[in-house]
Amino acid sequence: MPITGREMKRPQEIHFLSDETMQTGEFLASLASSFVIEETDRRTGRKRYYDTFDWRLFRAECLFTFEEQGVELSRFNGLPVAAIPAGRREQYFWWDIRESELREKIKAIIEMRAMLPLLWLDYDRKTFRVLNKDRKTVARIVLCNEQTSAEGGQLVLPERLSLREIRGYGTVFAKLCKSCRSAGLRPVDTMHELLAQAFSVSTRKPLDYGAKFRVELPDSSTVGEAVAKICLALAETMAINHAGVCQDIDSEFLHDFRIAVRRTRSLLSLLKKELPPEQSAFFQAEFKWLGGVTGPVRDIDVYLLKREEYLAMLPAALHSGLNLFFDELDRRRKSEVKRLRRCLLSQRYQNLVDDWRHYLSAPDSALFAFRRKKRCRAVADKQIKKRFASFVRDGDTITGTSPDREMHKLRIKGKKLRYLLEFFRAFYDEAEVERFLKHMKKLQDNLGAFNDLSVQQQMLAARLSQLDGRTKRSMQIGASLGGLISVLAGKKRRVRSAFQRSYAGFSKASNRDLLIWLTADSRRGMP
Amino acid sequence: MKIIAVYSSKGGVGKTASAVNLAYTAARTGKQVLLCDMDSQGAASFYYRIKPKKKFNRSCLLSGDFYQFIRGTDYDGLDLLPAHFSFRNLDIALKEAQKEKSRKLLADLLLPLKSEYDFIVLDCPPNLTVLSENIILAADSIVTPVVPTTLSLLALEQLLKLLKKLDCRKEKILAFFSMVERRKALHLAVMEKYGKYRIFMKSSIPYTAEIEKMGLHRRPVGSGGNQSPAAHAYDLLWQEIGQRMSEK
Ligand SMILES: Nc1ncnc2c1ncn2[C@@H]1O[C@H](COP(=O)(O)OP(=O)(O)O)[C@@H](O)[C@H]1O
Ligand SMILES: [Mg+2]
Repeated sequence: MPITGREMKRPQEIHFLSDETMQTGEFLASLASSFVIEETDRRTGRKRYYDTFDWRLFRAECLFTFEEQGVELSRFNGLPVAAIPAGRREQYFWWDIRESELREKIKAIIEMRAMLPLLWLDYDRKTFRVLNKDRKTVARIVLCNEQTSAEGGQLVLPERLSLREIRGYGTVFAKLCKSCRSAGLRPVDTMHELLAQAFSVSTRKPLDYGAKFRVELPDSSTVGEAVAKICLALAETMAINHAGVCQDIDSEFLHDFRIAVRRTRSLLSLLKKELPPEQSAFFQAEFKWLGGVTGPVRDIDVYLLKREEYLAMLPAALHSGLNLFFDELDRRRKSEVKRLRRCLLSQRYQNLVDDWRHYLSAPDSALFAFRRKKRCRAVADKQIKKRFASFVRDGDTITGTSPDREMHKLRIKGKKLRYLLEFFRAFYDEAEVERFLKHMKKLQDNLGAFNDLSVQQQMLAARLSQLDGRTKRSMQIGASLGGLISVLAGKKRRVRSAFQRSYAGFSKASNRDLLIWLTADSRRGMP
Repeated sequence: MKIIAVYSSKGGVGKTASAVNLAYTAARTGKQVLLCDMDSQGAASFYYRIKPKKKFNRSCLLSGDFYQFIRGTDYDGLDLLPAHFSFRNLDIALKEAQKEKSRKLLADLLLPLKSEYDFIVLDCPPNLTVLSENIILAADSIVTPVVPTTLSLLALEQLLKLLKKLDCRKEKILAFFSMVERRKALHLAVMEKYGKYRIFMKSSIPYTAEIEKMGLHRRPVGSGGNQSPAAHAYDLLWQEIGQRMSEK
């Protein structure tokens, strides 16, 4: 008799805040007339709260904090995940935490990103227990006074009273909640609200940065207006990541920076016919330069990020050679970062930023004068339809024996189509665009993996051929690279053979219809 | 999830004392633990000051509809399923359940708790019935307290026979000497003679006033905050149980 589907209810925790008429502390004293309440614990301390630049922990509804001699991962619902001793650092990568369950959990959430300090939290926390007549604890009450501080100053947060349910004693918990409510205490059901308050002293706000690209565009936008809005948003992404790239905090600052550059270039080329040719040509050339100078470091990062994966592909005997190869990359990266930093702090870069901003925002900019009345929506519809048709035309002809370059061409076309949908998503039904992009993502992942493997293979082969075969060191590296290349070749075959299935899933009639429906002006608004 | 049954066919050997304290020790190391009080006397529930809810009884347990009757103890990570008076006829009810499956019923009942708990500790009543068979089949390990006297050893022999009948590996049994009094020559002699067998773990639990007084304080040893040699002995025992279980 297997029993399934019965879930255990988790004990709840509800937070209440003081307001002008009722202080939580006073309220607690008043509870003593109907409940037996005992203070069990009082703790004061100072915590430092960390998250990645793009709020990966926040998105996972987790908190990562340092206090005194250790770090802790906990959930928004108050449940601790894990804690271990650790030294205080200005930033933590997952590999800065010693081997433990905590490290594995963190790694799964933040991947390659660094966790950066965002806030200090000073707290004074008293824990009380509510007892029944057997003197058994049937609920807990926590009274918390906190103060946050960050670069923006300090803030004393309103006193907070938290009720913690104990499994199997729901009745008492409900009674306590009712007392709190009728005393006028204000319940806050989510950590989000508390954190939003805490962050009022910080220049950062939860979720103020993320990878999803979305720009609001009224349906009546002209091409110039739409391009300006989209490109300003992309320029903002570059600006936001600029410092992180220059300080080389983690690899993702540069990655996001480069994606913004690539999107900008893509938009300029996709809408080439609709934009002032002279200015477009100038900025295209400048962004091409920017794409070029940021390339070498990213190329190296791609390998360094694969260190673990590569090591796992090879037998231990070949690890030392591979580690030598990575050490070499590490050294090369250092000098490439210096070069990159020089470019990003150069006058040429600064001019590009200033000119670009001016071009996108000055009322008398040529951008707004050129074909001034043309509606962007019509252009977007046409472009998306055209790119989609071209994508499936190519995709339909790919067979198991098509050459690699056909795959690469298809990937580029897919990318352009995806960018278009992302730039102009505001014109269309949000849920439908998401749905289409999700279908597309599977296919793009397959094409992307194939491309990555091709590039890796080529790069490793090139390095192999440069090796001077005489020294012991290069023999070691050579053996490892040779091993890797053959493992990658096997992988590449598998990815290639998965293509047909991914493509069939994507190009099925329902997706084709969806896109036609999305971009068909006359039929908009139909269910 | 691992299921650990604290079992012996003999009463008064320290099963409940061990189940109560081992469960507490496990929870203190950060594990999620459920202590199931299978003995209708409800001693484990009493130590944790937990009474069953009014609607709880044997049929709730047997139908699998018992999650709502699990209650939190005073300690983080440690829950308890209280015993009920009606558990005294648990084995009759088990026998009446589907004939051929009646031995595996308990294992099936506990399986869905896999995602909730790292360990389930069963405090078992002293008998040799269908319930014992259920317990033995459900458990990953059977922790057996043996008071170092000749009579207690008989209970261990019975257990070995039962395992054979049920076609279980005898390595499932993790025996230890319980209520050990070093002043007693008999205790020392029995331990000397039998302690070297692999079935016995190295750790043992001494006879102490602190454990004896648990009924008075109604809480696990060591939870009062003071240094406790008894709690230390249970810590060591728990560590050894963990080691033995990972060796398999
Ligand atoms: N190590 C010990 N030292 C002292 N008294 C003990 C010890 N272990 C158990 N006792 C006492 O012996 C009695 C029987 O123990 P108990 O754990 O209830 O046995 P069981 O569950 O096997 O019937 C209880 O009163 C208990 O307090
Ligand atoms: Mg007992």
